[in-house]
Amino acid sequence: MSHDIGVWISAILTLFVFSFLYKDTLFYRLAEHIFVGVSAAWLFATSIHAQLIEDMLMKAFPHAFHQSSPPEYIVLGGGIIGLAILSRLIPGFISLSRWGVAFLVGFQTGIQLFDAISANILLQLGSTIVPLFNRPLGELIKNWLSTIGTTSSLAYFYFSKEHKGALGVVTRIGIWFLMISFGAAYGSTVMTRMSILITRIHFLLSTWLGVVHG
Amino acid sequence: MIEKLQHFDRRWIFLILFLAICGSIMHPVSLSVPIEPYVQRSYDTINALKPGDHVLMAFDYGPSTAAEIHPAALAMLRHALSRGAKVIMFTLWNEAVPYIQEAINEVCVPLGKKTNVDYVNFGFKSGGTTGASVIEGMGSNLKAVFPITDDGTPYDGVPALQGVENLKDFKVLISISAGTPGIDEYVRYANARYKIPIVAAVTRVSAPKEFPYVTERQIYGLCAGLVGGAEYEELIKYPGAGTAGLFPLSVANLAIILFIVFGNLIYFLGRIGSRKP
Repeated sequence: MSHDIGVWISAILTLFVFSFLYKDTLFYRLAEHIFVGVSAAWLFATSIHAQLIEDMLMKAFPHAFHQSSPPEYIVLGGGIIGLAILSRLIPGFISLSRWGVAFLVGFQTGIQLFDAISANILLQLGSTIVPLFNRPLGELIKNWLSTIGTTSSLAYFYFSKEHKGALGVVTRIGIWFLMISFGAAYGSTVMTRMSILITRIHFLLSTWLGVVHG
Repeated sequence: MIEKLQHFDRRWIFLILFLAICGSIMHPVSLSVPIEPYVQRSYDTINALKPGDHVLMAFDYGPSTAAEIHPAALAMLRHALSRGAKVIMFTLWNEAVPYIQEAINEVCVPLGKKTNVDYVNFGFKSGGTTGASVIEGMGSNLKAVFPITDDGTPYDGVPALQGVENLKDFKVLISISAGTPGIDEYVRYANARYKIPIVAAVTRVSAPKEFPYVTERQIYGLCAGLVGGAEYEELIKYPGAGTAGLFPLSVANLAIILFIVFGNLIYFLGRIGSRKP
């Protein structure tokens, strides 16, 4: 059995969380509140250090932090934009926050537009245009499935015409493809959750109790 | 009887699953690990590294997903270092900071690798919800994004970073990713714009979303979930947490399948029973 206080705290909190499987207990609530509190504190502390200190103050005033690099006062602009967003909290200055939000939205849109179209639309579109004849059988099956699956699934989300007749047949095929993909996603989710559960149980048996080695 | 089973207390399922996993952990059975082509491609990409090549490694995950992808992270790091590559580590997730340190303690130190000479830890870099500013910044000037390492060494004083100016100076980017910012952002910014090859380890649940990128070679290789980690451990002949989790995972999945079959059987038998006059 472990003599590490950290391991004991971790093991007890794990058991507290597992107690929810029996019913909503006080122990579960306690663990939940500790988790939320610690997460928020960690996020706050690391964000302050990484963004406010490292990204702004250390770059703008490097000598104050014993750095030899030249000062970059331009980073203070980011601080001003951040303060502008926070001005929403002060009545009478709400309009200032729009400037900060506008800058953020404009920056993100500009930086993402080109790359997102290239990586997520054009290249992906290209991979659905595949040869459907004169290929080895295995490749043909894969290509036909890919083409039928893509077009029928897209047809399902075409709502300008009632899903009847030929369109109805195609959308029904689309539903099958969608259901299979949802099934695969569900199976993957189960595997993910099981992996997490196994790791916690392994921790309890190995690191905490020492029943299992390795 | 059927009615009783229809109101079966689900807590029995939890208990059975718990006992099944405990049993499989305490009495493990060695399973053969067939290698997926995507995992093989990850291995081949890292295996092609030459001594002195630079590798960028992003640890973008937290405690809720570490169980699945941390084994793959350790295996890939071990492989890259054993090839003599210099690994530059960072994260866009503040929760991942302890995992980088754990990787250093479990892989870099036992291999006798020296900090700032064989590997560099830049720690957490805040990039907002998309990480776009950080990745784009690395594309033009790595030093501007990471002026100092996690241990406070200035960029110019790090021997491992000599000759490294931006993303184009890296042979490969290893993305251990559990969400946003993560692999999608590296594909969108680092690969689409700077053409850096990417290999990745992702959670099993997000893997289907990433497969189209693998088909288009926007991601060279992919390790999905704990099984992907086990496969990579098999390839480098260094069994770890991934391999150890394989048998309990198989038992747990089998139990889930049996429960699904059992549940459906009870449901349909109940329906047949209710139709009888």
